[in-house]
Amino acid sequence: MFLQLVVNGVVSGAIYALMAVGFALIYNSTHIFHLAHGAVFTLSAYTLFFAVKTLGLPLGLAILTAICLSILLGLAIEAWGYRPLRERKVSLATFLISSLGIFIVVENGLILLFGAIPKLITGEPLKAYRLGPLIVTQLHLAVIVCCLLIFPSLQFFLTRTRIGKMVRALSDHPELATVLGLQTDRIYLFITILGAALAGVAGIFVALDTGVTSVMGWDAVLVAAVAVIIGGVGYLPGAGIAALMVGLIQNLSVLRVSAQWQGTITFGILILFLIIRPKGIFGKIISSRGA
Amino acid sequence: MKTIVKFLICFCILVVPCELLARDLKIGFASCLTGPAAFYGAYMKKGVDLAIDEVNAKGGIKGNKFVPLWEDDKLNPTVAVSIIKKFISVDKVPVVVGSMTATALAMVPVADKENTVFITSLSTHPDIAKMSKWSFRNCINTVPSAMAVVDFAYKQQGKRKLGLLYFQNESTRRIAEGVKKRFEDLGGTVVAMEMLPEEGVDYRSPIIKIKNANPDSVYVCALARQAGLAMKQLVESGVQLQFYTDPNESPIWLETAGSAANGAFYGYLDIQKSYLDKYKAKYNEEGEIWGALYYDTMHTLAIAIEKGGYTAEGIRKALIEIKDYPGVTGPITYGPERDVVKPPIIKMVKDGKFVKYQ
Amino acid sequence: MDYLFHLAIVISIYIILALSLNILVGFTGLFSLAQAAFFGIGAYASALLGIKLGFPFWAATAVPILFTMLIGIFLALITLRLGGDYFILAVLGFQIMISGVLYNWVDLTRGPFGLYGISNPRLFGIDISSNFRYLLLYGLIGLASYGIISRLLASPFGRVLKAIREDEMASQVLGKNVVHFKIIVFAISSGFAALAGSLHAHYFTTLHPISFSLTESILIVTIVILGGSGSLKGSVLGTIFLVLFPEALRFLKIPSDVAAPIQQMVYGFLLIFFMLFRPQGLVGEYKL
Repeated sequence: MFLQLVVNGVVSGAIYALMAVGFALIYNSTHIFHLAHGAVFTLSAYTLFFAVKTLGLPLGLAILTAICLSILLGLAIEAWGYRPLRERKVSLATFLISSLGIFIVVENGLILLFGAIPKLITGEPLKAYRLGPLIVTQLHLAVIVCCLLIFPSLQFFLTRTRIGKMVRALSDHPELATVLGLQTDRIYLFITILGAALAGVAGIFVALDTGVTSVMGWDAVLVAAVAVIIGGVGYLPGAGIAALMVGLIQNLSVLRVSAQWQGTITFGILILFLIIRPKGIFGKIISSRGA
Repeated sequence: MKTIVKFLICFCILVVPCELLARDLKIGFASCLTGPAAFYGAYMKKGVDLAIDEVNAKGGIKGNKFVPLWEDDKLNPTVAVSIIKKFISVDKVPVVVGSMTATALAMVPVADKENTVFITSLSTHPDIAKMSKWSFRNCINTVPSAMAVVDFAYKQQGKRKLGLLYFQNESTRRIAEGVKKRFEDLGGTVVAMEMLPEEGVDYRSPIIKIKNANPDSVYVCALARQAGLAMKQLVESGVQLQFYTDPNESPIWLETAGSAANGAFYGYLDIQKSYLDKYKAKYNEEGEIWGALYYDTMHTLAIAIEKGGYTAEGIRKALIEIKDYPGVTGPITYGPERDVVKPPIIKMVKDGKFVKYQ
Repeated sequence: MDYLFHLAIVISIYIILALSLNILVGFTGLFSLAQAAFFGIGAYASALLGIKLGFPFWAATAVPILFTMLIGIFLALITLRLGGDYFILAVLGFQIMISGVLYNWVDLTRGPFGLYGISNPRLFGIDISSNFRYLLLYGLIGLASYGIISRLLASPFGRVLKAIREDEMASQVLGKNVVHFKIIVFAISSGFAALAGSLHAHYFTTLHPISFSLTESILIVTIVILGGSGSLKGSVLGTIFLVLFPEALRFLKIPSDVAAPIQQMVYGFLLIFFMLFRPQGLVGEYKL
């Protein structure tokens, strides 16, 4: 049972990691508490549903569509939501509220389009494979394989390509924005695309596993935010590793407490970290920005 | 000119009073149209609408047509209280139709204080109808239904070690406690009892604990969608055992569980084919129990209004007098307890279809 | 008429809530997403003291206020040393944990099964049971709260808060113990939220954790921001608008299964719009 919980935790954590790294990319460089990240996640899920169930597209094409639309939404939010605010030089709290507003609008827009009843893409139990005492479904394998492809690629991109290095520079040292001047807008665009794509992938996995609901984005983005803080702002892999940890702890905690406490435990860990080690596991110095 | 005027005067004298006399029969409906049980709200509305269309098509009750007023209580008792207050105070309805236990429990005291009839077909709390002389219920008795299934599992299927999964909800928890007690009274053991949290849809953690306890069967006390998700994840986690569940014969159960639901047994009511055909014709999907219950409830309300008049007290008295109304879910008698008793039958899922167990 | 009283009662409760958050956000510059948590603690504590221990209304209100203030102070001590975003997230974490406790500690709060049977208030021998009486009582309490907070903010204490909001570093340099002030503000804020909680519990006579979740906190934040942070009148206006808005929607005859998402979308657009064009809210003086 323990091993199975570990496997479940890793898969869960991997999906959280996709969300967390996407969130971290955006948060680290802009310090925008991008709640609307959850909306991108939800949109991706609904798009996949629509593409597969209503349009009847083959799965591969549907996935591509979902990711493309996620990126488009992310770009729209950056261009029409955040850039005007940035030009007005508003405070971070204003960004947060604006992001919240965007999240609410997108989420409810989806309810209007699709109705309040949850949707399913696969109405069948997924095929599962036995590996000794463990059971792993097709989807679980897909998640693990995808992450093993995505994260190293991301790492390569961030360390070996020119744009990637600029993204990382901005992400680790947001104050460079003023130095890089005109370049920053382009870099922000890249960051947005990457972040939205990651959220899109996460949304697709969850949609295939347990279906599509209008509220799925909220939990996803909150866990991402928690992971980023625990992992330490200013260090991208930290967010991913912390997310993995959250997934593991959530699943393993079931050995001691009832499943309903998982949400509380996640935030309990967060608060503990904030009290004991605010820098996060890998974090650098916190930049204290006035509320 | 004069003829026209005379004609107009006659027209007014004859027609207008008739129009004024035709009163709208406003009824308040508070349903969970959004939230974790939104599918139940949708089923409720479909059943109600089907019945109201039928009654209105026949000219209504003594010429007066039903006008349904719908509000979304979001399964939140506070919102429900606001809604029923509005219905009573602003819309002045003599009867409010409610939905699930969480909100019904909050609305009954208000109905009681304001002398308004309250009726529900989605609440299975044992005391709902007892709380007030104004409170009525026409619903499947889920606890006796679960008991019938437990008896069936123990006596006819020889199950002795039960794994019990229950959804974090008033009614499902109570059913689960009833199932546990009954199974243990019969001589079996409940080897594991785990809760499915209300928030979130990943049930793998409680499922692992069930699997680890080595049951020979699993009872899932949950709403239709959550039960479907649980069964799907049970099968994905390698638990291929006999499943039992609550009266979840709704399309969303099969849509969510797929083949995982095949072979599952549940307690239920017999729904008449005529209703299922009408439902399919209007909505192009399979009919189910909750819509059917509300369909019957609306028809009994129509009878009550016809007999007792469009007043709260009139409706109340007339409902109590209804005896053996031939509903599509079985004969309906509210009686002085204001609670309809329905003997359950055992049904199962066979190849993606709901069939009676022979 | 009765329904109008009902609306006025709900508005009174939410005005107190909005004012309580405004002290924190608008006047001291502390962005808190946990107001619903304090609201909930007050409500449940009040309900349980009444049901389990038979406390009369005034005691079942006063004790939770003190209790919640202590929790507010505790939260302040933990979170105040964190900067900006970390503070916001920590407070958010607190909200989610409290929601979790209210939902899952079923033995105490009955969680999602709901807590029923709270008695209505009895003060000086008078039974508060009709909507009219509730309105009189709650309206008075609301007015009193407004008065107290208003005087507080006009006093030297209030001026220090504004100074902290505008320039924390300067205030500190000038010798004001900023942390000290912030803790007091937290206490006052949570105390008033608890008051609102008790009023809520004794009016609706039933409690469900969903009324005290993060969504509710967001609603309260919306009221304060739209009304105008830093303006008490703004909080009153914001409350009236946001409580009456769903009622107004009813007149538009929008089908009920889409009324909820449409309402939410309007809130969302309002937030975006205000942040872009009028961050100080309707009548506020402080741009967040």
